[in-house]
Order: sequence, then structure tokens, then C-alpha cells
Amino acid sequence: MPILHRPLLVATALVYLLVNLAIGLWALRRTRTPKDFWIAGQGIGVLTTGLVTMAAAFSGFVFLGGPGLTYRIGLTSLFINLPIGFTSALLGWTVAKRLRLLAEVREVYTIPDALLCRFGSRVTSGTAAAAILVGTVGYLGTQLLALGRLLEAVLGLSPGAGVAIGLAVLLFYSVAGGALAGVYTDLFQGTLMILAAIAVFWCAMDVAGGLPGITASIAGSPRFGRQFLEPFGKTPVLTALGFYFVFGIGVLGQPQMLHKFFMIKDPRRLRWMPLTLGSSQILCLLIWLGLGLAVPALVAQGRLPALAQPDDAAPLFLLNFAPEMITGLAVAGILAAIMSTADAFMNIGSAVLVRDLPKALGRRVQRELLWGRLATVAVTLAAAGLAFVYDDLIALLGTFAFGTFGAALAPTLAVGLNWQRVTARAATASIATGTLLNLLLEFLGKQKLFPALPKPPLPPGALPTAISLAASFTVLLCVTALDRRRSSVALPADVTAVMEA
Amino acid sequence: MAALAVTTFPVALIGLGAGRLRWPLLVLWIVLSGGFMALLALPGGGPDVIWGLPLGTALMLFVLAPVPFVLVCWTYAARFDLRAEDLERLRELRALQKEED
Repeated sequence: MPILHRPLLVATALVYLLVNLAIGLWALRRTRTPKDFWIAGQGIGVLTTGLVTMAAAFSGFVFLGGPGLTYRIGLTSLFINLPIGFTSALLGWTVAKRLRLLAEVREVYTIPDALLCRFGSRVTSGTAAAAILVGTVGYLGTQLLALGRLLEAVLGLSPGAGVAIGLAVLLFYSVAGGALAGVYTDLFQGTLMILAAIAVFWCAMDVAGGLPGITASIAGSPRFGRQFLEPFGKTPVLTALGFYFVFGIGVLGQPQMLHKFFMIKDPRRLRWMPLTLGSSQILCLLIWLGLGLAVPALVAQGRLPALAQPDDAAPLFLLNFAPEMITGLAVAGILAAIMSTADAFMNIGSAVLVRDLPKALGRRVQRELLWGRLATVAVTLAAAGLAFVYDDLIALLGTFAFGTFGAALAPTLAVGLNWQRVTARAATASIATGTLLNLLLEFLGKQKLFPALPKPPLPPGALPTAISLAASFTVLLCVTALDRRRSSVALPADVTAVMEA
Repeated sequence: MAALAVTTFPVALIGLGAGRLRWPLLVLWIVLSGGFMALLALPGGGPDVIWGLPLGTALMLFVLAPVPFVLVCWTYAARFDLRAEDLERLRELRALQKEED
């Protein structure tokens, strides 16, 4: 990453970190029960829910990876964002209301808690907890690495010092205030992300000559050509459709988003959740579109050298073309995107260790608040340690963590919470299939550690995650169909009422 | 076939979660499937139509994302059905469950 060490940027980053610390301190005084620690006391409004769900969902990938991916493959990358048109309402109809109502009738703080209520099986909830732990280590590890690298670049620190500062701030507010601190830092961070995205989009369009100028530069350039602007460009159609499928359906299995639905105070306010979540996501994605178009146009115009690393698209634009105020805002926005995702996973990972896995083993941890705080430290340090020692492996896990969550949890949650005939065996089989198949296919496809291992036998352009997600749905439906012939288990009255509400 | 599958599947899931929602779902399915069919049918993304963008790309940016968004958000808000009595009933069930435990 290019060095971003400038006085205003240093000041912005420091102020940003201090505000997060202050929120953590504020939340510390208000976090008194496990309910406060895991689900922010179940007391947040719908606008906040929308914003914090967006902040948790959008990591640094939207700000750094998205423009880089567009630079590499053209506007086909927009197939990742295209499902945004329906995903927030899909979440609302299939999972948000059911999850929140389950939290109304039972003590449900996590996704495995919800699965335990719905299926009454500790094997199912334990399998889900294990899948969440694997994805959490990957997601959290990559966020911590990205945070460290960004802070090193901005503050001009030695390698390692950036990670230490970022970790210290994250740990302080996440341990002190749990989900309560997470929600209010995410609110601050989500607002910053939106402001940064709008400002950078406006600046990018202005600097690169407006949309007509940008498209003319790109289409006339031998490096990019008109293909860059076409929906499928140089990318196989199957890949584009795979993006749409994975990001459109996989969203139903993302615990960092779903966890936020437990926190809303009045379930009736969920009426406005798709609007608030979807609007904030659309605004945030402006940075992807703006930089994804402006940077290739600037390269085509000869005002920026061709990028050696596509992921440098955003930092190079900010350093060379954006006013310092906007660069400062964008740096804060990128920090916010990384930290809001990281704090969500710190809380979720800690809940897996303190609630979900012990419950799956038939045990209950006493003094949950204390152990929750300790587990937050343990999970974060473990993810950071693994990310440093096995950085390639963790980066690999991080790149397909979204897919792992989607393939593991989306079918069971989306279908299982709406169709009473889905059995615990079907849910367990689906979660295990989605997790293991996705890890196997992605690992075989991307690993370079063991050259003798074969590549997965997939059709050209097919995304491993799309295959795993489809397989997970298929297993869920097939095992449910087989189980129907054997027996039917009546659901508890409260769970039935939730599923019929 | 793959394009039809990836556009039909989310609509089917919405149908599973939302229950009786015929017309909005039909419109959503037509917009998504029709849009994807059009994208596939346009060679090279089609002619340039607006601000130098190919027709297919313009369709993605100005139809396939915003139209479903407006449609489903409006439908969700309009059809959202959770009354105070429903919540009260759920809380009563919670109390009953606690007694049983």
C-alpha cells in the first residue's frame, strides 16, 4: 500500500481512533448483563439497525478490493452489487423477522441459539457454531491484517506497530462494551463510510471528466477498451452469474449481519429495515462505482501510471487526485469499514466460545459477561496471531469466508425458518456440506502449498462458492424429503407461532 | 438456464418467506429474468445509449438494481404485518414456556 503519511491524515486517523475509544468508555458503563454484551440490550432503533448492519457487512473490500476488482475485470464486477436491489427485503422476508421474533419468545442472542430453538438439536447448533468459528477466524484475521497495514501506511509506523495500535483500540471498545460498543461505534463508522463514499464518488467523477468523459477515455484506450464497460466484458458469463447468485443468496447466511436483527428494540419497526439497510448500502457502493470507473479512465488518459497492484486503485487516487479533506474522510471511512466488520466478528467469535459451543455440549457457562470479555480477547489475539504466522492461509480463509457463511447457513436459515418440515438432520447435513465443500473447493482451487493436489473439477468460470451454496440447498431439500417419509416431529408452540407470524 | 435459475431462486425464497405476494413477485421475476435475458441477448452489451454506456450496462445500473429495490422495499413496508396483539401472544407463549421449564 502507498504511504499515506501526511499531517492531516495522521490527525484524522488519531481523532477517529479516539472517538472509538470514547464510545467504548461510554458503553463500558452501560454494559451490565450478557444481554447488553451480546445484543446491545436489545434496544436499538431501525435506522441504527440498517446502518450498523451495512457497516458490519461492508468490510474494507468495498473500499479497497471493489475498485481494484473493477480495474482488473471491468464492470462485470458490478454483478456482485446488483443483488442489492432485493437482498435487504429478502433478508427481511426470510430471516430478519423470524430471528427477531425467536428472540422475543426465547433467550436467543446468536444464530446457533436460534437454530437450537428452531430445530431442538444441539448437533445442528454445534455444527453451525463450528462453521461460524472457521469463518470468523478468516474474516477477523484478514480485517486485522488490513487494519494494521492501513495504520502503518497512514501513521508511518514500523510493521507490527500499526496492528498493535489497531488491536488495542478494537479490543478496548469491544471488550469493554461488547455489542453495545460495537453498535454505537458501527453507527459512527457507518455514517463515516457513507459520507466518505459520497465525497469520493463526487470527487472521482469530477476529476476524471464526468461519466461521458470517463466512458470515452476507457472505450478509446487500448489497455481497457469498450469491453471494460460491457456487462460481461472478458469475464465468463458463468462467473458473472455466480457472483449474482453467491452475493444475492449468500447474504442470508452472514452472521455479522443477521446478529444485528436480534438487537432491534421493537420488532414492528422491522417494516423499515429493508429501506434503511438497502439505502445505506447503495450509498456506500458509490465508492466502488466511482473509483472503479475513474481510476481506469485516469490511467487511459495518461494521468496515472498503470497499476502494478489493482488494490492500490483507491489509495493512489486519494493520494494523487483528491483534496486532502476528502482523503482524510476516505481514510477514516476505510478504517471504519475494516473496524466495524472486525468488531462484529470479535463479538460473534466470542459468543461461539462462551455460549454456542458449550450449549452444544450441554453445558452453560457461569458469569457469561466476564467470560465473554475474556473470550473476545482470546478470539481476537488468536485470529491476529494466526494471521501473522499463517498470513497466506488466513488471507485465503478470509477471501472465501463470505462464501463459507453463505453455503453453510443460508439454506438452513432461509428455508428452515420458513418451512416447518425441514428437519434437524437436514439442517445439520446442509450446514456440514456447505462448510466442508466450500472449504475444500476453495482450498484446492487457490492453494499453492501442495503442488501435487489436484484442482477441483469445475466447469470454466464456475465459482466454487456457487457450487457449494447450490449443493447445500440441494442437501437440505433432499434430506428433508427423505425424513418426511420416516417421521414428523411437532415443533414447540412458541416456535410454530414465530414461523407463522 | 443458469440466468433463469439465479433470477428465479431469490424470488422463490421471497415467496417462501412472504407467503401471499403474487403480483409484486411476478413483477420482480419479470424485471430480473427479463433483464438478464436482455443482457445475454445483447452482443457486446448492445449499442451505447447514455453517457457512453452500453445498453446492457445501463440496464444493470438504472433498471436491474434500482427497480427491484423500490419495488421490494415498498412492498415489504406495505405488507409488513406484525401487530401489538401478535407480540403479546408471543410473550404469553414465552411465559408459558418458562413455566414448563
